[in-house]
Amino acid sequence: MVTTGVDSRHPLNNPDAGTHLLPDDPREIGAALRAGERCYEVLPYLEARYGKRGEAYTRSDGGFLVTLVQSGQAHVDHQVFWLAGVLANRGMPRWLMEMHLDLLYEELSRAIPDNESRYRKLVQAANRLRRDRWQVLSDEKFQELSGRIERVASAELRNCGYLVVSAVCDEACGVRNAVASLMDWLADPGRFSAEWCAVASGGIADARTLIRSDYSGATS
Amino acid sequence: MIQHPFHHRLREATKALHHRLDHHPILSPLVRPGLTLGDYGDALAALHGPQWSMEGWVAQASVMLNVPILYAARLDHLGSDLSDLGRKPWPWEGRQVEISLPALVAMLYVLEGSRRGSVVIGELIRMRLPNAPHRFFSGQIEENSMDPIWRLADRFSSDMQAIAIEAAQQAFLSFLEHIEKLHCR
Repeated sequence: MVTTGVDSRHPLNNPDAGTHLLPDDPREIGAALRAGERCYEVLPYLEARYGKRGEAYTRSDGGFLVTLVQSGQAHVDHQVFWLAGVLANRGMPRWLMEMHLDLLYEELSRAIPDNESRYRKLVQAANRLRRDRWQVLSDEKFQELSGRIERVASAELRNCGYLVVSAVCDEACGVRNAVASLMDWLADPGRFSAEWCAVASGGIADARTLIRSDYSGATS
Repeated sequence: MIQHPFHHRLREATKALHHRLDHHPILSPLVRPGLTLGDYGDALAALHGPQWSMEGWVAQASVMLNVPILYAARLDHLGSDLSDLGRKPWPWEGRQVEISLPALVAMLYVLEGSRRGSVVIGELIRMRLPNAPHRFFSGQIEENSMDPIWRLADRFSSDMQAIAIEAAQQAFLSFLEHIEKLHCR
């Protein structure tokens, strides 16, 4: 492993991301790059909102996540939860981290099949994030509401329904700024049609109502 | 204000551990003149693991035991402060106690006590590092915030009280082991 900033030509290096470790195996570097690209393909929102700067962060975050697999599961979970919370407060709900971890696992296992069991720690961390989400809203309702929002989203905003519902789940899990930081951009009438802004805001309200009913049902 | 008798017992049983924690070289700079951004970042990085572990445990235990969540999470603030300082949490591999109602009371006591302490520490940090992020060390002390916790303990038998005391001590010990390990690196 190498430290960020030591080699500015490292493909995952991002000088803005602070000091942390990065993988030095070219196969792992390639896997991290491909996983990041796939996140951007699934969610055009990322490029539209965060552009090149966001791509650099996705690359360095991917590199950081790869280095975690050298440690025990508790450490992986802890660091993943911290990073996922930080990103969720900046407009990237934790569902995105679940996806990034799943894609990293796929790409890494394909690149170095012998290390598959080590890379599985990333999926375990994603599963723990999912369990947190399911604790406030069942996956069935999550999928149903996200799908309903998706049906009226334009191609440009593909898969944003999942972000909208995930942000509300994150908020219910204690990530205070998850909804505001997403909707500041995603429901900005200066950027999107009135119809879309109404759908997105309505999705937030519906998800909050569902979570209240699901959660009170689970604890009463 | 009248203190719940079990509050007094828990406090006495954890007093020495609490003192060790407050005076540890990683945390004690928070209340001393000359606090630097580096010291502050170290303390936050050390605090994140135990806070993450305890808050997660309390949320899980509250659901499993069908008890309303009696604690407003602060981890989010801690994570954001760390990130604003360009820091990451220090590795945490601490142990967790078995879920039970007495252990839940103990964890809530530790977390709520920490919140109260943070309010006092926060005033010093804001004075010494006015431009540093300090969401985690913010808030207000609400005099009756522990009442719902003590209501849970009202009917504890002596065995249950013993479990709660052991769980609270374990929480302090895990934290101490964690910062000892980091400090020795």
